Amino acid sequence: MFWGIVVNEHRKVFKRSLFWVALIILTGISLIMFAGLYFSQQAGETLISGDIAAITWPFSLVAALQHADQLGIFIVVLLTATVACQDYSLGTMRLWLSRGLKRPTLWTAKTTALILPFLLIAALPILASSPVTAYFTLMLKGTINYSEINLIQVLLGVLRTAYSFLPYASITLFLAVATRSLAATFGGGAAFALLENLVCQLLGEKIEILKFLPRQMANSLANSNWLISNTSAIAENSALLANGYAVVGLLLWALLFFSLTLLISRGQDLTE
Amino acid sequence: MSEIVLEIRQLTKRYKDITAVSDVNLSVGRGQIYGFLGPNGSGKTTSIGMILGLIHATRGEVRIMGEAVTPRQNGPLNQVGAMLGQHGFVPYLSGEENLLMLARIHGIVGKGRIKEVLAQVGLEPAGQRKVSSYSMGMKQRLALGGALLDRPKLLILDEPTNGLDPAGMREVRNLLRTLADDGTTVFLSSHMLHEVEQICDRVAVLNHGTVVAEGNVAKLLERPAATLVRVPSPEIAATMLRDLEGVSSAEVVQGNDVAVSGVSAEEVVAFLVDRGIIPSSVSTDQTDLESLFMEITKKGADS
Repeated sequence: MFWGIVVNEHRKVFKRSLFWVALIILTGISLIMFAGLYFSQQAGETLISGDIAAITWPFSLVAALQHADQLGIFIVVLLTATVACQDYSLGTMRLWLSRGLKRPTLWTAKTTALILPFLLIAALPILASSPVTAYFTLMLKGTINYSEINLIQVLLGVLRTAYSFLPYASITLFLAVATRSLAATFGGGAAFALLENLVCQLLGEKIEILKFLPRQMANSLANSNWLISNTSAIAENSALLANGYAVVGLLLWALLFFSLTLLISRGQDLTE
Repeated sequence: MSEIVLEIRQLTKRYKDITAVSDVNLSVGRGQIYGFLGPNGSGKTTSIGMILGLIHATRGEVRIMGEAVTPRQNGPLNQVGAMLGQHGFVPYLSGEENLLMLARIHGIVGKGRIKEVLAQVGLEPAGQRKVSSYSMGMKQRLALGGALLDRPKLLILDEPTNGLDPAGMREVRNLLRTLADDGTTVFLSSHMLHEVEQICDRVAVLNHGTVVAEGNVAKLLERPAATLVRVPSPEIAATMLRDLEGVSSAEVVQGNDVAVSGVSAEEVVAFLVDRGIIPSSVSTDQTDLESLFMEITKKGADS
């Protein structure tokens, strides 16, 4: 039954036009950012070396993952909020639970089913922008040095990015179950992500405890994306946790809010 | 009674100061079609929510095939096919895909059963269409199909004929009768009293969260018919008739008529003629479920 529900949830997500529109927007923004820098350079503007590196391989691959990480969170929040809240508003949850399906099974399956869309959100900017940035690389550098690229790290980068979405999905699910309102859930989830990002940017290096926020732990994992270039090493950053701690920390955030989701859901009366 | 499929004991639901359902008791036997009646807000949907493990009962218990059902212990519901007021279908998926999702919950593999059910509810040609393009009646049919999908032992249907045209209603009525004859138990809520009267073996009437009448439909309707007499001064006649021995009620209805219960039409006419009142017409008012329902629920509202 569990995997049947996962398949059902996949049907619901992948047949939802909102999901594909959001992915197209994410990919579009990522491409525009790369193209903007490239055409600025072509127009004769002097770009700093970092900008040129960001639109050429291998660092363009790191930049694409950054786009997925920072913009993808909002798609994650929107998708999770829609998936959960529409089940309440359409009565799908009532229908399925009335067939003897257990609430924890439903929520666990729902969360499991989100992993594949999250991988897609993490991978799509890199997949869509790679041919474009490969072209920019050829134009700007004359050649692509494939030996500079660590493909395993590209794959791990996608996994790290998708993994760092989990706490946001979990917080959004919690808000969905607590409020049953799409507006409140999306608003709350997006506000949390924005506020947290702002706090981490402004105070991340000053306040020690902020490194335990999902954003900083996601940044800790994203720091390893520099290893996509075989010529790079991970820069030391005292505001970030070691990868192992970040992995555990992100999981704890996800589990905490998922447990709260289950707890609230167990006691809920599902009225029409 | 035959094997009890659904049993409800002292089922109560309170929301802070409001009691939505109070001490509901009923038993439904195998192969019965049981009607659950009540005006809007009487607690029907809340009761069905508790039966289906969607709403926590404040007190009391629900047993399906002898096993207790609660929101945390809802295993017995895998033998139940439910059709809810809010259908729960995903509008951007087709009818067939929606049924396929339900089939996965039941562990049904393959589309054979889905095609069969779509044909059974007359939706086969529209199976590939998105549910968002369905009419209300088509959604009702799809919901009924969903309830039938796993060949359940117990069907719980919330207003199953809502939105159907008369032909559709008859089809559903015949389908439910056939299923019941084959041993499926049907528990349905409805406000279509004529429908209920035609199809149900037993009914419970719910008012203000309490069961105010329960029993075999034929038995409930088995009561002396009221005599309707048309007289020039109905108020005076009604007052006089209340003194006649055996009269349980004498009320003015529809302007000039007096409805008298508890005594025969002959006794009423003789009594009035003795007092110089000559009725211009005399008839009997046959009780149907609708008038019984109105009477019962009116009493509840007055008390």
